[in-house]
Amino acid sequence: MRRIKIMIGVLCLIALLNSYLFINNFAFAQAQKEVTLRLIAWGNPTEVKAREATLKRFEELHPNIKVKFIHTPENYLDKLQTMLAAGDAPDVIYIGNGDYRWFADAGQLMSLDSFIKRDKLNLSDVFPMALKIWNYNGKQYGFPADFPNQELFYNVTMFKSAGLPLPSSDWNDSGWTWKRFLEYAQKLTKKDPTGRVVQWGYRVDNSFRGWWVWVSTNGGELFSKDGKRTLIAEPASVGAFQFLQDLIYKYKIAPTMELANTMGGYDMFLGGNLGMTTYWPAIGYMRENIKTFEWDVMPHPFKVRKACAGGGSGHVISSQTKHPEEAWTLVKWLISEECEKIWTETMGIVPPLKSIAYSSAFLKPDLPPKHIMVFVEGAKYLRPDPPHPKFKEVSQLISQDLDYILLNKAPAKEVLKELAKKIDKILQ
Amino acid sequence: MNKRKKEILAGYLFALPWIIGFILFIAGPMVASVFLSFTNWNLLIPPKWIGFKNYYTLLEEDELVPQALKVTTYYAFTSVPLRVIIGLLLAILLNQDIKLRSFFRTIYYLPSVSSGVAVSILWLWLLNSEFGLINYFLKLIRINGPSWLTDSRYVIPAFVLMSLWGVGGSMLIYLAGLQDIPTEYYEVAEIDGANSIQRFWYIVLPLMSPIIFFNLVTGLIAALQTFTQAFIMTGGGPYNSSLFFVLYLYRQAFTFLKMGYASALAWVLFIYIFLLTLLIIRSSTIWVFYGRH
Repeated sequence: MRRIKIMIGVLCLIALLNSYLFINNFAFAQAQKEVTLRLIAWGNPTEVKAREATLKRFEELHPNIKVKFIHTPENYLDKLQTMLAAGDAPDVIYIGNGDYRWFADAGQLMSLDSFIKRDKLNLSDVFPMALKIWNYNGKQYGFPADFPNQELFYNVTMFKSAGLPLPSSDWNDSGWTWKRFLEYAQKLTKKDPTGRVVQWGYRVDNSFRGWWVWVSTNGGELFSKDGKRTLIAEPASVGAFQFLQDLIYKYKIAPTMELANTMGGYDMFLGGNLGMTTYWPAIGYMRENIKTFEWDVMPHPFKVRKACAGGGSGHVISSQTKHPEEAWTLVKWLISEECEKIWTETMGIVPPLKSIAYSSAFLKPDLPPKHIMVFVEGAKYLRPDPPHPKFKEVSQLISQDLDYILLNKAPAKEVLKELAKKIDKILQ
Repeated sequence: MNKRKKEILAGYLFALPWIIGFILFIAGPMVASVFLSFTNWNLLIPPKWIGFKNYYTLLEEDELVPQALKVTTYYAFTSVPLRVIIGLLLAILLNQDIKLRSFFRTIYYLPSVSSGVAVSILWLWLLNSEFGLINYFLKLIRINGPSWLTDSRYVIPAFVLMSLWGVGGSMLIYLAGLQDIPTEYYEVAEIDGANSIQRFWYIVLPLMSPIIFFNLVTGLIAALQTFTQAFIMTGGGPYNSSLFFVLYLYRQAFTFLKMGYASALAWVLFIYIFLLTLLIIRSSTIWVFYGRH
């Protein structure tokens, strides 16, 4: 009796083992057909939501491709570089328009030209300038995900209660200058009886585009024409940086960097403590989070010339990818009208496609901001991140020393003179 | 094989996992980094031999290296002695027969088990000049607190203050040492008429000196490698006044992708730590008392 029991037991075990192997093999065969791509990107909660929605739709359309989204909100470039160096590259990379050239030079990006040619991809709907930003040394390395420019958002309710006339939000208005901006900012700054400021006119942003727009509207440049030296210590740039320092310490219409960060940095405007802010069009995020006041947008003020910063970010493919075909399918989908439409409706980004920029998906006439066309019209004045192969290194170097100016350690002129020496060393 | 040989073999076998780990993850990378420190390497293209150029740049040209050494040394030389003194005093206090003793011991030890990032974020709020609790308490006693993390004069003191909060780890070691002192010594001293200060000076301090020595050396090495707090809380600012050496090394390695240069920096730090530790060890013959040997 006992022997039979053991035999049955052994048989059961063999059967179990067999079925396990069978299922395993079968599943393995399935998995071989299925490809998992990895996509790295940053983004605020609204952006993450939009990304997940577009990726879900992509997976529906392409059942054999799964996309794993690596969300990296902080220290993005450090992480990306380390992943690439470790040979653990994500297949598709979301990257700023100023940063990608460095990676292209390091041989880390795949040119898309042969795919574009093979598929006869029609790109006539993409704003030509947006497409051109992603063309480097004659090769198309990526497609824009958006085509934004940073403009000046303002709190309409605050303007009204300060008795200020509402700006025209017209790019042709030649009266919208730094001087008028400063007057407005001063009127928007309010103190409580103890002398503590409770409402600020503006917030100085220490990121690259945050100061680049001021340098640009003052007629300044970062690099000389031949790209061999920096012009950051020239009067036009110095004037812009000095103006930013003065906004905080001389005119006192902007909070100190520490206070601004404590009060939420970019989110300070959403909290209703800020009259005006230079911000990229995170319109969906703003629509979702601003409930207590009216808001709108106007062009950035100018001094010497009209300009705006931005140019957006885009998608590129890692040259290390093991699935170039699938990665291309994803990148192609990300610039498609359907994807851009989801992206625009959730995110409120400025779309890189003409058909959507002039459609209600973007314009949404019944939702703020009323003058959303400022972004579309502003494309003409866009000065994207300087297309210099060393831009990434140089902008990182500048951000290290920006403290000296924005924390009022020394006048802008002195700091920039020293900084220019360091930058020139990299450029030679 | 005789018994002794067998035992030696067993010993090595037991140590093998560690030995493998050491060779693979510590000794190997160390040897590699010696080589890399003589190269120019951005991780993406193969390293290029450039001789002593990294070391030359580091010692002669890079003005941030002396700055980083200065910041790191300033921090270590303030934080470590204070930690030794406060840790010891705290341990003596919690060695007394007081109520809720184990409760207090736990409370003081707790910070040293929290993760560095969480602690940093917590202190970011505590040290905030506008809304922070520290300045709030200072205000109660009519002191206008500084803007700790954005004033170059106060940022290192702020980090020192923060390091004192985590003194519980060394306190625990002192506590073990204190309990190791035979009670007869105290009794004899008491019969001879020694007061509590004399007992501390002639019994506790000499007998604790090996433990103080241990805490001093390990504390100094750890302090010279400070990274997390500065990375999370200040990013080295304001104007590089909290640019700790390892933070600068990280920046060169992972932001600027200069792995060769970063390796050279690592070796300079290693030599610096080595020299300082050697100094303490040499001096220990004067002040460390190994009573029982």
